[in-house]
Amino acid sequence: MQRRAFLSTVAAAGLAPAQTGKLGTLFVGAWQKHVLVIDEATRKVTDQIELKLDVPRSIMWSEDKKKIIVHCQKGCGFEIIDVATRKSERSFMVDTGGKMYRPSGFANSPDDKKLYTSLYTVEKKIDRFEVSKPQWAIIDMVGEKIEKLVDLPKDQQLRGGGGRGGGMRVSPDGKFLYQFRDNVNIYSTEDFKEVDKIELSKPLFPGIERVMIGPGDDPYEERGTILGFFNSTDPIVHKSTFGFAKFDLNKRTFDFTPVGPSTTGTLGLRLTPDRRTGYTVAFNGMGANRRCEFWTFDIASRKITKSQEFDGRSRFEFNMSSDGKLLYIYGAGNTLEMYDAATLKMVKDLDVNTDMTSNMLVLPG
Amino acid sequence: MRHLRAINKKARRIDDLLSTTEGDFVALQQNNAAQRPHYPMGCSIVFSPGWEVDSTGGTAGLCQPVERDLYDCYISCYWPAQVPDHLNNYPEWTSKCAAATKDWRNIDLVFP
Repeated sequence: MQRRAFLSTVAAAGLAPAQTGKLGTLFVGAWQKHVLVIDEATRKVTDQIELKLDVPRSIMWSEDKKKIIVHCQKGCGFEIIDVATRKSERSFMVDTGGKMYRPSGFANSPDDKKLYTSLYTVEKKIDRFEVSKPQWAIIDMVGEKIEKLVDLPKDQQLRGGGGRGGGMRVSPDGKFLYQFRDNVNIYSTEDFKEVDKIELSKPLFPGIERVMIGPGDDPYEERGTILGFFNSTDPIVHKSTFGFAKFDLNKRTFDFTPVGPSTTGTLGLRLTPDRRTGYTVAFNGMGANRRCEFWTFDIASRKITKSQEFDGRSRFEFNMSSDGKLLYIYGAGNTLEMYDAATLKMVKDLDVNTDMTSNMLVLPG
Repeated sequence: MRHLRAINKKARRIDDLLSTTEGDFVALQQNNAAQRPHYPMGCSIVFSPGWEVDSTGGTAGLCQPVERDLYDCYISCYWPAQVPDHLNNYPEWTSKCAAATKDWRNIDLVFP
């Protein structure tokens, strides 16, 4: 294993949360104004949380996992759902007057009082709409308004690539905002001044020229640590390689383990609760020639232990059950496909009777 | 350099590649990108859902059946212009149709 620093995989496995053995609950946004609640034990939709604003576009946990923050389509709106009562507690829109905000990517502060995002503003003028440059924004979730807007640095104003904002995380102490793009940019959460930059585009160790990683959405993620895939190319023949990258947000150190040749794309890494086994969906080819496969990884050795082609729909998202025994394929439609993680065969195609419109959150039992 | 001409496949490919970087007036063309069918405004010029093409000019990238695309494309992509104005004037245009694949006949017809 090649490494740049810090934690071993054995230590990582030791820090994993204990597996309760109980099945959990799934939350996913759905057309038209709902968040569906799906019970993993019965594999049925057990509740529909009514939203006041509009179609849910993305959902995320509060830090204590007691609330769900829903970003809605209308008016750059947010709704806060109480997980225990399964009711919408409050909702608000940050669009004001003729100004409309178009955010992409969110990261919440450790105290859940602020939401960090990158956005651009569309302002309605008397004869035109004026679109601003991309900006950092702090959304005051208590005061229900935009607290601060700061222009992104000029070299970060490129559109495209992770929805402009890229993946984002706030450090456990709330002082730094990490933006994962072609480099990892580290900003102060006070004024968005760049305090550090980890240049992944420069060689980190011999044989690697360019690396890209992004944070995943792991319900068992250790606070302050990100384990995900990276892609890199070598400087001689530009062969693309993918592997595991572990990033410590506090120490700002990486641990890279190349695995094999890159595929056309993957859908992020999902880890079992004991953090010993990982799963992803890998694509090969494009369009009509695209093939979808499940890949199973042994995390300790960082090796692929099993792969299985499956009939992937044209557009979908991927997630894993709270006990790590089922893999979920959902999105762009009204069906949730469940695959057995051991055999990688489909066990159920659940019709939730409404089109899903957001990512899925998994609440462990 | 006009007296130099590409005489084999590889040289012609280099020639083609260089010519793409010299500027053309094909909309949304990316430098060094593989040549593909050009749809200047993506699928948004197609105003009949079900008859659009994906970014490669084919249909393999579209959802199947096509109704799966309706809401997902509306909120994330290019169909706000093709479907009723959900945010302002016709917020209830799909109030009787949660799953487009199954209930698309219940979608409201709107005559603006």
